[in-house]
Amino acid sequence: MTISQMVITLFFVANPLGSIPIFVALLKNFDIKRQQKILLREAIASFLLAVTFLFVGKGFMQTLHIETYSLQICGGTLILLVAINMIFPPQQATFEASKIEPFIVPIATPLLSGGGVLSTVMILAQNNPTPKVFTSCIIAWLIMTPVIVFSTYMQKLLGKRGLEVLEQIMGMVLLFLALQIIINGATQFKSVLLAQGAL
Amino acid sequence: MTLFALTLIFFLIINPLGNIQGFLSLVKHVPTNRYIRIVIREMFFALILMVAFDVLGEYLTNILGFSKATICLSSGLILFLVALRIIFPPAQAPNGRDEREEPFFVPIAIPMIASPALLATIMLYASFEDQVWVSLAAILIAWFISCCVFFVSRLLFKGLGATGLNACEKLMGMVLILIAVQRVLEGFLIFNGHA
Repeated sequence: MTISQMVITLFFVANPLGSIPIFVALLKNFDIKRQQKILLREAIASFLLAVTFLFVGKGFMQTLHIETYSLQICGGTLILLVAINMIFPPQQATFEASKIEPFIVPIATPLLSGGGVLSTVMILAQNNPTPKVFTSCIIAWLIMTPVIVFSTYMQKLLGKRGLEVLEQIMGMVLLFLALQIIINGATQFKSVLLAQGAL
Repeated sequence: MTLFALTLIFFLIINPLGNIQGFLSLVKHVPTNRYIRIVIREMFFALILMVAFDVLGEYLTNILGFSKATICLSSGLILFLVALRIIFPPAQAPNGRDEREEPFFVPIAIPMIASPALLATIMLYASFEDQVWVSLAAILIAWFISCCVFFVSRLLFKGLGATGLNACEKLMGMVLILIAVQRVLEGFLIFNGHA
């Protein structure tokens, strides 16, 4: 695989474009400067996670006996919980509580560097020389980071009312996304069950 | 389950890095030499509880007759809920304690270190393990590492800051939740195999 192919693969698996409305909805309580800082931090965190997985992912998964389908189902479940929270915001959302910044979870992982990206990085590392995969990670994140950080200007287009509607709709979209990820994992798990027989 | 994996699970549930902030706010007014004594005392209380529940776990399955799938699924579920609380911490209730009062047994030994979730997990894992020494050794190693973390907690807090500690805690929570999901799925596999 060439570097450009790997960059494209990583970009589409991480899907920053699709996640932009979700980020805007998640961060609607902060001003744009703060949002950009948060998103930049999260982008860096997700990059570090992906790179860490590139080097030690296989060893980590093998020592703890974690399969790729668990990675998928786990990430999907976390996204599902975030989605439910967006569709049915908790009643006692006091002013203080809504000001808690999302940190690493859910933006850096599982939204950006979720099970999909982490397993992709691991598979790429198995079939290609590590420096090549590392370079493509760097390029992919160099493209992704500005896309994510400048997505905050979408807020201006939408206004306060629009943001509230967006949060509900994006909650629904996120719910579908979460279930799709869980189903992807479950399909892999099913083949393991079938191989074991007696289903 | 290998000794390493078991130790890691216990260490992640004790969650010393996540507990540092709460712990430091409790011993804010305590001088350093006194503070080390408090750590040792509280950690020994916690160790006694952990070992007691480990021994208890050995007999639990025999008495109640749980199947292997039940134990796998329920321990996975408990781990999942514990990890969820680490990843998405609930809004903290204001604590009404007098902070000048020295903490004794509550709230450091229990529920901070030897939390109900940890004791339940120890019980379930102990009954799953064929050899007694594996879970005991895992408890001792995880306990010892947590002790070390608490000893240097003031330095760690200065070095990493609240943000750094928070990041470590979140990442540890992610590892724990992965282990939990894997365990639940293993429970299904066992269930399927014996169906």
